[in-house]
Amino acid sequence: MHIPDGILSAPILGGFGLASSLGVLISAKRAESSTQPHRLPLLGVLGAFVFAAQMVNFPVGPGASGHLLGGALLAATIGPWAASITMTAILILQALLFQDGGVLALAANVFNMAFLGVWAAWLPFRSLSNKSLGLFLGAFLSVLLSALLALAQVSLSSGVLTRGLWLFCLALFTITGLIEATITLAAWQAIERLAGRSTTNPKPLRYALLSLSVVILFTGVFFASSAPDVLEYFQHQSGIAPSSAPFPSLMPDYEWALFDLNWLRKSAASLAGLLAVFGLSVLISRFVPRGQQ
Amino acid sequence: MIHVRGLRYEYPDSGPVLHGIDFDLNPGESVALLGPNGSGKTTFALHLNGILHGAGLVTVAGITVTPYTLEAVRQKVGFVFQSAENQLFLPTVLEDVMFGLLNQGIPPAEAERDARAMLASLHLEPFASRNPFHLSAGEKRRAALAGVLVMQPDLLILDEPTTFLDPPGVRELALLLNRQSMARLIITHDSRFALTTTTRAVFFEQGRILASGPTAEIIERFDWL
Amino acid sequence: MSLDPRCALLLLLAYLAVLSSVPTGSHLLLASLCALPLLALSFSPLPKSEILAQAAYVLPFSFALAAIALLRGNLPQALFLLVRGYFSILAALLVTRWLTPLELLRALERLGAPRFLIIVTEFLLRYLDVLRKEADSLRLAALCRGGAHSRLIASSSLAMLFVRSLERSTAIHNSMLARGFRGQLPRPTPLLWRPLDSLSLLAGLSTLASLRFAL
Repeated sequence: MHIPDGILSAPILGGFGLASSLGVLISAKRAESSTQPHRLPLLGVLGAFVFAAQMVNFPVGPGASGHLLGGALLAATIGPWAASITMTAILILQALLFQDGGVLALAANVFNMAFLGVWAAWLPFRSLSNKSLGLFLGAFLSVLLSALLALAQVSLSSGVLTRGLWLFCLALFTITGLIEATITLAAWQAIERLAGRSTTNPKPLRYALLSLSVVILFTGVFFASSAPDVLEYFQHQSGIAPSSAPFPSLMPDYEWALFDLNWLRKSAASLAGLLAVFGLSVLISRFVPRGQQ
Repeated sequence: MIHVRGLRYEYPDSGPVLHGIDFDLNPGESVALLGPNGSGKTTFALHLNGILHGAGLVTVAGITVTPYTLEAVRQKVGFVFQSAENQLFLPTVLEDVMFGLLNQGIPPAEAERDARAMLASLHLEPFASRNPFHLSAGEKRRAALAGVLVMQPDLLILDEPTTFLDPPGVRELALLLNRQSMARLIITHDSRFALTTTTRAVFFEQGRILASGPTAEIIERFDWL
Repeated sequence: MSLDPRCALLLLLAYLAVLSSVPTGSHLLLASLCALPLLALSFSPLPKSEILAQAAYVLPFSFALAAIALLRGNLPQALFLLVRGYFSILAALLVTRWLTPLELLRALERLGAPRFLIIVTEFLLRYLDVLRKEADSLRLAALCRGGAHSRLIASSSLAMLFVRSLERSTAIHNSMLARGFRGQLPRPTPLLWRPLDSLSLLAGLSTLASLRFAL
């Protein structure tokens, strides 16, 4: 989800801008030292590949088709540091050339898609012994988590999102995530076949179990949020009463907005929520494949 | 200029490609490498600037090609690859032509002057700040050549230089190559082009040189027109 | 008159930052900030109506948010979100259409973005259209074989595209080696920062700051 300019508030932009800049600096250093010279053109060419791959329509159901988003496939093929840099390059050009996502909003978009999106895909891929399953789960989480974080940023900035909308978006992102996971896995297996490396053919049972785990995850989150709203819940936990104003301004005093404790707590709470979801799904992903093997 | 004895090479995953190549090229001479696809012509040429390393002796301009002499060798050998699109990898034509010069340690201002002069001599001035993607096939080929010629190599290797060119483009390229004074090695399937641009030809088959002689003679002998 | 790309980029970022800090209800501040890109557009040689129309690209996203605000009965906030979204993208368009993508990248590098990132982005920019053309020819080939709705063809097209990208990057690297590449790409010619740039930057920033804090 590419957030355009003019939506995010200054504290969110500042905070995520700082995090993104640090992330870019570190990733560039790590990617540069781990990229052999002969792979230098590769990162850019693969970035162009992601753009081009979006022109390939992938049928995902009757009458519906999707396209590759790419973060998970990049993480699996060139590693997380290089993938983060390539995703950042993609986002920069999308903002500058195609107005897809804002220029200042790059601060948030880079964090959501080039860092959270890449690492959320990399960790399951790296830690599961069944690579197909790891990639499937990784691609799913990559899209779900980065979209949820984007939603949280928009929500915190504008204060317009209600619990019903959160649930609606969650369902939407789950579907988008499953589409991305399907396409990523299909593309990855086709690449392995083309490169002459054998991959195990997907076994129907495993995928039935996998889909089940996704459903469990989804219902779990659903129940968690039909208690108080996720954000409100964490706010209560951290002892902040929800603001009574219908549209609380996050920056009553602009000069001090960055140090505004309320804002800090709110974003910490939402981050903690996301981390909890992520931890839960990694946990489930660890149990499910072991149970079936 | 080139002195090769007993060159053998095998790709790690697909077995032997060159089975003992002996080859000589004199300064200023222009020679065509002919032969079927997969006969080892490009693999052989990639040994002349040390991109591949096989067993056997390869000497270029008096320097034996080893992993330690690559820098010196690559100063002497200009290689124009088959795909101009891949050769012109920088975002503007001018920067691409400057690339080799800057690698040689020439100061940027001087490199830019030389590159602009080279572009002018190949009628490419208007494209200096363009993205190479937007050039025609002929212009791309000339731009790729410009980036190599500007380095003033002693040996020029061209891999399938007529790919994607229309007949006027091929004629123009032949004229341009015939004006050069350095030694030239041209890998091509275009026998007519070989006839107009080279005096001698060698014929490759299955990693061996089957014959060497005047271009017209070789083309007739292998029925290669 | 042409500004250094760095100056233009900094002014854009400052403008967007100030715009995103406008609190709801500061109508005068919002109006005067919105006037700035319109003023710049009227003096620029860019195609005006085209850019004004293109800036509406952002509206679906802002519109969705505005619709939610409206449903909750807050018309001022709905309008505020729409206006802020529109003028942010208008300002961004002015700068990105006026400068080339390459100039913008070079400016980013000079402003401290890691060189490695910029090199990767330059490679991406260079091969963007090349690979899109390749994808298009694959799509056409699939269409000709009647496989527009086949998953197998879609996934093998993606794989083909990917493997060709790998081969292409090897070919690119070979051609870099052949021209003496030793692991360091030469730096492009530096940008030229002139007194005019300092002056424009100062004028722009002080205008933004005085608007922000006076209104």
